[in-house]
Amino acid sequence: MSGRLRTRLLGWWRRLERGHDLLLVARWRQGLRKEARREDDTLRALLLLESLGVDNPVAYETLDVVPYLVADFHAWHRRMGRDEFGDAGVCC
Amino acid sequence: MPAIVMVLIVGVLFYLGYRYYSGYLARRVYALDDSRPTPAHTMRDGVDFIPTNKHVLFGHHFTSVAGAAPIVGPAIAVFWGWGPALVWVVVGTIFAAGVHDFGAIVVSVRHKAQSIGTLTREVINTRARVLFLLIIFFLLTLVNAVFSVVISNLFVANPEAVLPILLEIPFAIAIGQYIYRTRSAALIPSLIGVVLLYASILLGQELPISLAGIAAEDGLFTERNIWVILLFVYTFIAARIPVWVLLQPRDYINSHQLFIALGVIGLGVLVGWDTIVAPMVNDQTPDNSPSWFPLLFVTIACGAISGFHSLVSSGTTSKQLDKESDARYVGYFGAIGEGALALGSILACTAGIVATTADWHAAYSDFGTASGDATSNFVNGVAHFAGNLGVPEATAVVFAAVVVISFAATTMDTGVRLQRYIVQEIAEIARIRPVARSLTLSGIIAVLIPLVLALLPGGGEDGYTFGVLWQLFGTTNQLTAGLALAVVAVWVTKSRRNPIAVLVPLVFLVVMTTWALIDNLLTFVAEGEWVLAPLDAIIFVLAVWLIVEAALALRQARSGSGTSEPVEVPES
Amino acid sequence: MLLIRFFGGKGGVGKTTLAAAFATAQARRGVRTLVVSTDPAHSLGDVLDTPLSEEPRAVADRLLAAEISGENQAERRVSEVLEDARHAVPREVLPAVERHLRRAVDSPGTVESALLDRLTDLVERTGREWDLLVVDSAPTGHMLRLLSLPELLTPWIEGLARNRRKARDIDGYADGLLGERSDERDPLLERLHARRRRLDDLRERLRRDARVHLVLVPERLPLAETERAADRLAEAGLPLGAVLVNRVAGEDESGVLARRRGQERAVLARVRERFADVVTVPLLPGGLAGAAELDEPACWLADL
Repeated sequence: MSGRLRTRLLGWWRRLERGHDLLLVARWRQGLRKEARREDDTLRALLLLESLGVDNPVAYETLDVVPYLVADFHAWHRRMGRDEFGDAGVCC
Repeated sequence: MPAIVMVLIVGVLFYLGYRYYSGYLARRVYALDDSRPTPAHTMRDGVDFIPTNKHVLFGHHFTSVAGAAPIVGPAIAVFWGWGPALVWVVVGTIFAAGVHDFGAIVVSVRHKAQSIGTLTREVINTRARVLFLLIIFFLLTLVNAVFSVVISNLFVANPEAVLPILLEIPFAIAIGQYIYRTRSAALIPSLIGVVLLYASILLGQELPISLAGIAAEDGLFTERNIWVILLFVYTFIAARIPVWVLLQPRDYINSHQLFIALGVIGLGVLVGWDTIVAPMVNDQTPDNSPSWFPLLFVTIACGAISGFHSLVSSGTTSKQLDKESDARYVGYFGAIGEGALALGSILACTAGIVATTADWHAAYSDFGTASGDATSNFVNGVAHFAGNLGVPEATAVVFAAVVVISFAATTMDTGVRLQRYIVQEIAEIARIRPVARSLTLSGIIAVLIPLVLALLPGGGEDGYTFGVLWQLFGTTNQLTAGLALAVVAVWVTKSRRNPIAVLVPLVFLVVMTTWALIDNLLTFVAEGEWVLAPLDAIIFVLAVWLIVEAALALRQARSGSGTSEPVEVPES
Repeated sequence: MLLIRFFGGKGGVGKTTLAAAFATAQARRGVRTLVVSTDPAHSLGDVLDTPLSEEPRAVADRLLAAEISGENQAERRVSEVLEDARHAVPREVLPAVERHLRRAVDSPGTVESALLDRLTDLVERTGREWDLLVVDSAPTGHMLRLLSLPELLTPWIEGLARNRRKARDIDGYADGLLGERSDERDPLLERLHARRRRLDDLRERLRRDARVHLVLVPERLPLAETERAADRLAEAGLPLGAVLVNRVAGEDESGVLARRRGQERAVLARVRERFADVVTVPLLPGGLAGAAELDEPACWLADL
C-alpha cells in the first residue's frame, strides 16, 4: 500500500476513533464523572469549611489527612479541566 | 407501493419541515439569539455544564431519547392501515414533536438550564409542579408496566435471545475496564464487544433459554408472567446498584446497537425493495374494533410527540448547548430522528413481515392480536430487512429481538430508578414520612404497582390488555408533553411573541387525549375492569387539571400579570 | 503496676513540688522515672533547679525530666506532616497544604490535642525507656479533651471512610478495577484509623496503669474545685489515687496560723469524708528547690 494512501487511511481511522469517542464514549465518561463528583463533594465541603473559618474540633487529629484531601481536591479540579482553582485560597 | 418510495416521500416532507417550519420557530416563536451566552458557558463546571459541539450533542440527545416506544406504537397502530399511522407520524413530528422537543430545550436554556419539573413551578406555578410529579408518576408506572410485557413477550417468542441479553452486561463491563485500563481509544474494544454480542446471538440460537417447562398454561404463572415477575425483581435490585456499574455500561452498548439497527433497517429497505402490502386504510377490521379516532393519537406517542423527550431536553441537553441556534438542530432534528424510527417501524410491520396483503390481514386480524403481536411483528419485519442484506432469517430475528429488548430494558431500569425518587418526592409533599425516607419502601411501591398492571389478565385476550395499557401509557406521555408545551407556550406568551405554533399542538394533544380517556373509561366501566377504570379516571382528572392550569396560566400571561416572575425581560 | 501518676490541682497548690519530690524519691529507690510538666511557666525546671527541654533529659541518677508544650508539639506535627506530604502529593499543592495546616492548628483545642499527643508518646515509651511517668498537670483539662475526642473523631472517620470507599470505587471502576478494594490500601483512611486506635489505646492504658493525685491546700475554694475534678475523672473512668492536702499548718502554730488551723480542720474533715485515701503534707519551710531539698516532702509521699 502506498505511503500516501496509508497516511490517508490512518487519518480517517483516527477521525473515526475520535468521532466514536465523542459521540458514544463521552456520555459514559460524563456519567462517571457526575457520580464521582457527587462523592467528592463531602471532602470538598470539609476543606472549604476550614477555609471559611469554621472550626474543626478534631483539627489536630486530622492534620495528616489534610495533604491527601488537598491533593484529591486538586486532582479533582484538574480532571474537571480547571488547571487552577483560586477561590478562597483553597488550592493552587 | 414500494417501501422505498414511502421513505423518499417522508424524507422530503421531513426536510421541508426542518428547513421552513423549524426556521420559523427559531426566528419567530423562540427568537433564538446567538449573542446570548448559554448556561453551558455561564455555569460551566466540566461535569454537567459543558458546551458541546452540536453534532456530538445531537448524538447524545438522540441516543438518550431513542427507545422502544417509537417502535411498539406504530407496530400496533398500523392495524388501522398504514395511512392514518403515517400521516400522524409525519404531521405529529413536524408540527408537534419538533415544536415540543425544540421548545423544551430553549425554555430550559433561557431559565438557567433547569429541568422541566422545576420550570413548571417557575413559569406556571407551584401547583403545576405537583401536577407534573403526578403525571410523571403515572407515566413511569405505565412505561414500566408495558415495557415489562414487551420484553417478556419477546423472551417467550424468542428464547434464543435470552442468553445474549444476559451476556450483554459482562461484555459492557469488560469493555469499560479495558478502555480505562489502557486509556486508549475505545473504538476497537467497543466494536469487538459488539461483535461478541452478536456472536453470542449465534450461541443463543444453540442454547435457547425458555421457561416453558416450569410455567403453567394459563392462570397467574404463565411463561410470560413469570418473566414479568423476574424482570421486576431484577429492576428492584438493579435500582439499588450505582448507575455506573450496570445501567451506564448497558446504555453504552445500546447506543452502538441503535446506529447498527438504523443502518440495517435503512440499508435493508433500500436493498430489498420491499413492497408495502398493508392497505392504506384497513377496511377489514372486525366490527367491535376500537376506532382509530382518537386512539391513534395515544397509540403512537414517541415518534409523533412524546413528553419523555422534554425530560432529556431540559435535563441534560440544555446544559450542554453551545449556542442557542444549535437548539434547532438538536431538538427539532432529534424529533425528526424519532419520526424516522417510527417510520422504520411502520415499514417493518407493513412491508417487512409478510409478502402478501392477505397474509398481512391474517396477522393483523383484530386489535387484540395487533397489540399482542406488535413487538414480534416489528422484530420479524426488521429481521426480513436484515435478511435482505444476507443475514440468515433466524439469526436476524434474534438480532432484532435483542435490539428491542436492550432498549426496553434500559428504559425500565431508568424508569424504576426515577420512579423511586418520584415516589419519595410525592410522599414528601404528602407528608408520608416512612415512605419519603426509605429507599426500600419507595422502591417496593415503584415496582409493585406496574407489576400488578402488567399481570392483569386480559379479559381472555392478553394482547388486548397490553394494547389498552399501551394506550394509557400513550396518554400519560401526551399529558407530559402537554404540560411541557404549556410551559413553552406560557413562556412564549410572556415574551410577547405569538404562541400559536405551540398552542395548536397543545390543544390538539389535550383534546385527543381527553377524548381517548373518556372513551376508554366508558369501555372499562362497561366491562367491569376494576383496576383499569379507576386508573383511567385518575389520569382523566389529571388531564382536566392540566387543561385548567394551562388555560389559567396562558390567560394570565396574555394579560401581562402573572404569579411568577418572568426570568427575562419581555422582548418586542 | 502503677506506671503513670498524674499530679493535678489548681495553680499554686504545690503540685509541681510534690510531683518532683515523688519522682525524686522513686528514682532514689531505683525506679527509672520521668517527670514531665505541661505548665508553660517552667516551674518544674525551677523546682529541679535545672533547665529543661521538650525531650526528656537526665537530671539525676535514674531521673529524667522534661517540659512539654502543646504549641511546640503542634509546630512539630505540622512540619512532620509537611515533610511526609512532600513525598506523597504533587509539588504544586504543597503551598496549599501548608496554608491549610497552619490554619488548622489555629483551631481551638489544637494545643490541647497536641499536648495529649505528646503525652501519648511519653506514655507509650513508659516501660521501655523509663518505668514510671510522673505528670505535673491539670489532668481534668487533658481528660476532658481525651474523652471528647473519640466522639468527635468517629463521625469524621466514618463519614470520610464512606466517601472514600464510594469515590474510590468509582475511580477504581473508571481506572479499570471493579469491586472490592479491600486489599487496596488507602493511606488516608489508614492514618485516621491509626489515630483512633492510638486514642483508644491511651484510654485503656490510663484506665489500667494510671492514678490521678489531686493536690489541694486546705481551703474551701480548692476543695470545691477538687471535688468537681474528682467527679469528672470518675466519669472518665480514670482511677483516683490518694488526695494530697498540701501545706497543712502544724499543731504547734500560733497566731494567724493557729486560726488557720481551725479552718483547715474543717476542710480536712470534709476531705476525709469525701475521699477514701488522703495524705497530708505539712507546711514546710524554705523555698523548695533542688533535688536535695525535695527529700523532705518526699518522705510524706513515701506510701503513695
